[in-house]
Amino acid sequence: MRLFRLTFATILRRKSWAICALATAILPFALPGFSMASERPVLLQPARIQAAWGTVWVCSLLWGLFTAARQGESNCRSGLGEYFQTTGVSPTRQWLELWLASLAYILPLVLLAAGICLTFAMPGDAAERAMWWQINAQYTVLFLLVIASLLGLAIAIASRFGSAAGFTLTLGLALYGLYGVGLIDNLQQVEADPLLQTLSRFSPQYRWADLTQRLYFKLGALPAPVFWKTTAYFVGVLAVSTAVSRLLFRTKSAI
Amino acid sequence: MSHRTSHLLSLLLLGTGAAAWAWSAAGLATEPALRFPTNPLGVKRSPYGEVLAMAMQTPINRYWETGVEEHEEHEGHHHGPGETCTEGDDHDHPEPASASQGWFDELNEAANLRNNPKAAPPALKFWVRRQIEDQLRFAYELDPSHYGNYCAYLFFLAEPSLGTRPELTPSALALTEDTIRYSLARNDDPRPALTAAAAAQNGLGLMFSQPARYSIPDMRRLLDTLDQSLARHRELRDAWIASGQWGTLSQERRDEATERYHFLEQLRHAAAATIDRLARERGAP
Repeated sequence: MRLFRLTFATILRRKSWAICALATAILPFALPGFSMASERPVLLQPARIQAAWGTVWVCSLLWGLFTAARQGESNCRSGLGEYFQTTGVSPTRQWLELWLASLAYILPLVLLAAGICLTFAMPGDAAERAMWWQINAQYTVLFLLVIASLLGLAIAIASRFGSAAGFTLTLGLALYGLYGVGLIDNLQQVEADPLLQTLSRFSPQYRWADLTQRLYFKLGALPAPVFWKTTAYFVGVLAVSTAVSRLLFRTKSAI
Repeated sequence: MSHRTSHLLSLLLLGTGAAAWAWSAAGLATEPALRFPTNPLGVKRSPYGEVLAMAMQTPINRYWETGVEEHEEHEGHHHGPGETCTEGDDHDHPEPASASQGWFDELNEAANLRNNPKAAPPALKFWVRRQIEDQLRFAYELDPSHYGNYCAYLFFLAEPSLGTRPELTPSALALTEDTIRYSLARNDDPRPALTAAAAAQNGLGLMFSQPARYSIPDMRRLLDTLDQSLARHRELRDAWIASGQWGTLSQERRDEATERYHFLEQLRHAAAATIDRLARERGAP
């Protein structure tokens, strides 16, 4: 795990992770002051939930993907990848270690957001409290599965095409999966089209992992069969993206 | 790991992943627990969306003015940015706050000024109106219970020469119904009830514009909703006054709510009189 430790230490020394950590810790308490919660205290907790998970989404999609892409590119441009390969670390193992190091910075942010929801936005009702634990755990699992597949792709694409491509392509894919597929659904409601239907069926529906509105409107936890099916779906997406990443990842720069 | 094993592993991952993806996607696509309208970061209908909806008020006035001016130009009435308003203009151009603001406004207007001597083609005019309508809809969706944004959007939809949809009344009526439903579900603030009352009043206005299409009981039902909304406003406002929360609003906001309440009360009496007159004409109860 030498490459993991090296990558982890490199990101740690760059210190930009501190901005994300501070934003996740502070914004859920600062942002509600700029919302209607300042006029209606009953909205304080929903505003806090939204700020916490919204910040984690923004940090993961912008900072997380950018950092992963940068590490993927620098591993192959700096010659580190080639060096580790000569010491017997296979490309797949290198990709895995880079991926784990990037994920290690996203995991605390997600746990922090879930922790804030459980500590500072816990419903008063006993029945709702049990549901609150469950939905936060579900959200954590689904969020990590989504972001894990994207981080892996960002590293692999960046190692082959550069960090700019790694970052923008995965960010574009994430935004498409979160919001673009919803627009395709809307189009289909106006006029059903087999091409759009096929496109929607084979698009990664990351929006299913965004449970912010379920939390915010207190809709309750996902029913167990739906949650397991959604988990199977994202495990499938992760497996496909891992296979694509293995094929794309390279340890040496072509130039 | 040999090349052969490596390729096999990739194929295995692709195969099992695609199978799990396809198997679970089929059921999840129709799963109601996962169906939410597209809402980036959940901002629409959230406490942040409500603030953004308030902040959209100024752009809305600008969109509105652009739309109306574009329309008036079409009708033969137009004045450019440097010209003075003629009598009968119901929109004003505020004095710039400072010289730099004036310069900024001038640049802003210059960027959007059309100096092509040929008249704009109908397709462009339609596109401009559709853009304005989309912006108004976005502002409405941020907070459907916001009085100003709702009224601007509805007026745009209900005005045949401005709206871009083929049949206006049904979509405008659907908008009033959605607004009533959303605003009356809000028990945490007295002001959304006023938006519900305005929506009920607008619904009645749309019915009065085509009275043959609607029955007297339908109109009376909407009038009852208007009464319920005004009663809900009074009830919540009294509760807010009792708890001291009403006093936390600025004087302007309180005056605005009171003014809207009295205005809607007057419109309610006029609507009741119109329904009575239509009922008499039809010989209905």
